[in-house]
Amino acid sequence: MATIAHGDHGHHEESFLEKYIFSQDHKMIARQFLFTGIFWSLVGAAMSVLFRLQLGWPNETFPFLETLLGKWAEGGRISNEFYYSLVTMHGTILVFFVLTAGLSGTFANLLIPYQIGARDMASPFMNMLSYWFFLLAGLLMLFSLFLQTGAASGGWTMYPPLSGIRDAKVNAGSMWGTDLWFFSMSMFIVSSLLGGLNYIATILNLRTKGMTMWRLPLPVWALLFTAILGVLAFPPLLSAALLLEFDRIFDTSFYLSDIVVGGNLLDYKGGSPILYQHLFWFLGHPEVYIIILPAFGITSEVLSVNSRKPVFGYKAMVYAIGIIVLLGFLVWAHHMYMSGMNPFLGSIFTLFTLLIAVPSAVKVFNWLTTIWKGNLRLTPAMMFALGFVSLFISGGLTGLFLGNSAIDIPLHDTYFVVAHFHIVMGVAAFFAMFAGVYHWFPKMFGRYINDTLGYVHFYATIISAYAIFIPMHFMLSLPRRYYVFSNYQTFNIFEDVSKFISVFAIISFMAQILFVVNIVYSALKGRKFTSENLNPWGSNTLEWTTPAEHLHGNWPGEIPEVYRWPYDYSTGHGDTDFRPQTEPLQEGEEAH
Amino acid sequence: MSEVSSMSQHSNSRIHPKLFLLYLSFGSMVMLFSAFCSALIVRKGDIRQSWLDTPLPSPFLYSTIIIIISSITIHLAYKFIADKKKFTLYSLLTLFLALVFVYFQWMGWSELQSKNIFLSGNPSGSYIYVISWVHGLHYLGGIVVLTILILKFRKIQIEFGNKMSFNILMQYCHFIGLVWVFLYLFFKFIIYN
Ligand code: HEM
Ligand SMILES: [Cu+2]
Repeated sequence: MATIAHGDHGHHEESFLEKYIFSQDHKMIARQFLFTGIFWSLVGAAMSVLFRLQLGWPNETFPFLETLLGKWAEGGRISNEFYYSLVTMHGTILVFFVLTAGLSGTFANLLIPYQIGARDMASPFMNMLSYWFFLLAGLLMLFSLFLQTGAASGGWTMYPPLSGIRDAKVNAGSMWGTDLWFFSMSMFIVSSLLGGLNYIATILNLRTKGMTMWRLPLPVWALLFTAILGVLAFPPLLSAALLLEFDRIFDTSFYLSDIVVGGNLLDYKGGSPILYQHLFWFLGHPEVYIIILPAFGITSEVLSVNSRKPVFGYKAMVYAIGIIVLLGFLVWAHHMYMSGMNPFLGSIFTLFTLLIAVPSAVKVFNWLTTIWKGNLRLTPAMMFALGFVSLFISGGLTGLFLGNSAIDIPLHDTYFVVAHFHIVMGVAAFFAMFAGVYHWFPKMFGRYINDTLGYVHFYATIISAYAIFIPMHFMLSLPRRYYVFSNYQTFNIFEDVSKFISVFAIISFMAQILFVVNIVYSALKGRKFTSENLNPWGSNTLEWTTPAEHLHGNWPGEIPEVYRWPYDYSTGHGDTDFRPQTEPLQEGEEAH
Repeated sequence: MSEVSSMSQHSNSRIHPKLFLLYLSFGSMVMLFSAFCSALIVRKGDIRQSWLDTPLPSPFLYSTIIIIISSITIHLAYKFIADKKKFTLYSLLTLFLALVFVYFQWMGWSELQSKNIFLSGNPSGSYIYVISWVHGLHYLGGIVVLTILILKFRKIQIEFGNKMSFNILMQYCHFIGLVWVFLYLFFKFIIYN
């Protein structure tokens, strides 16, 4: 154990640029990630509203769409090529820019230094770079939306051969749109690596005195495992992307073979498109856990604080995440049961996939036991955390069906899959993110967020989320990504339910606008978070021991020392129902 | 706020945080190259697609030997970092060997071309190009940093911080060298045998 000086970035007055733009302070970078994430979630959600218009009313025209989108919606109807760009961009933006960078970036930056008792990240400079690469990735993707030939349109997974050919005859988005998609993703991967390496180094190296690993709050554990997953799983995607770009630009044949476009046999020979699927899902499956693990951590913390009870099975929670990380690397091919895989191989992936349900169930069980007979405080943060648990259960159950290769064969690429992953990942991770924003809002912005608007936001969102995705389970004969499904007579039965879904998609979008308004309004005008009450939720963790206003270095004097684990709620000792980590054990009290 | 610089930060490990970051990044680089190597194994084993036998270019053997020697010289440079004369000698020697490595890689790519194996041909050849280029890019990063440090160290007195930067560079070079030795053996005995 040693004490090292905290680097040399002490200056008297920071200029505007240093403070807000090229900031190296973790609290500012957290807010940069949050606002960039909010921007992208609005863009991504608006896209879903556009394609839901098409899916809900496939044969109608909306003249305002032509005014808004020009040639992409001639006659007031979204063109087929634009439809595919929309679904591709919606998936990419929400999976990577919002639920990966927005979620991990915001909370890793906010919580890691605060909760482990560090002045900042191990390398604040790398941390700044991580944000800047993320921003650059976003700008490239944003730029691709305005291309004459349109944005990428090969689906968020970008499978070749479709994505591997640079030819307008294939589709318009296969030109620069797809190239920019891959350039942008490469920048994004660099950003994730810079961020993740830094988070791991910080957690392992810079914990304050007494903060042993088994005293870490669960969000920190979750963010640690998330970062480990990221630094190991993202590089293979970079390899995959590089090979694909070589196919596109330099006519190599890594993934392509014997392709005919417009009657002409192209010059590709000897490539294997399935190879890309393996490389993609080797990242792709861990990626879904990169999204959900921080959500696990935030939920555990918010549930425990607002139930005034210790997290049930703290170590089991940590081990469960660890097992999920390990197994997460061994199940990628459950996305490929339909790719002509050897059935024996399929059965092995089925086994590992179903095994993952075990640690997932442990987590759910522990959350339920944590709130069981608790003294629940139903703050908006708590409501969203409870919502997360509900969604994770609902969506996890359908995973069991899909994980079984025999059952997956008819279900693959239908709306059943869409329902599964939106509930278990999309909406659930958003709920945890909301819980985190409501819970740590005072720490982030120095003011309280408006609770009434928070409850409206919660009820509108959970009702519309279920109204959108529950019916999709019953559309299990309808393939996903059809532009006009009503062209097929068999699918006409889905016309009404599809309208129903679209209406709720619009309602849920408006609820999110309300949330953004609430954030902006409360950050500027909300009730002040003052030094009279620095710990409004009665939390044990270290972030609530810092002053109300942000301070470079977080604590004015020495960093507090830690004497206990973070979940001593309602222990029966002392006069309050919580014992902060900084409080030494009392006489007769046993360490957890 | 000037107080921050004087504030202490508790640390839980003996390893310097920057060095620790380097070790972590080895994990990412290992994954990057493993992805290429597994792709190569899977592709070679896929009997549905054609696979043309491609001879591994002979200059790659020399570059492998050179990269091992350069690892030794950079180690010596680090060892004698306080001794201006010896440090200059060994670090310049390392830089020279690094350029020789690049030269032999270049010769290797030319030999492929002279045998009509181009980037855009059968994937058996394309993989050699792309994997050795990706390795080469990592190597170039090392060369740039080495050049910068040599220029910087000419004038100043070496203290702990500089020594740590050179240490990080050295360990990075060892690692990248090891990656190449592995790739060479992998190519030679598993794929292009
Ligand atoms: C209970 C454990 C789970 C099992 C057994 C499971 C199983 C599966 C399977 C087999 C598929 C492929 C379906 C197909 O395309 O035919 C799938 C799709 C998907 N799952 Fe899960 N899943 C589980 C939990 C999760 C979680 C926790 C997340 C994210 C947080 C998630 C996110 C996704 C996504 C994003 C897809 C669709 C990808 C796409 O094709 O676009 N799943 N799941
Ligand atoms: Cu998966």
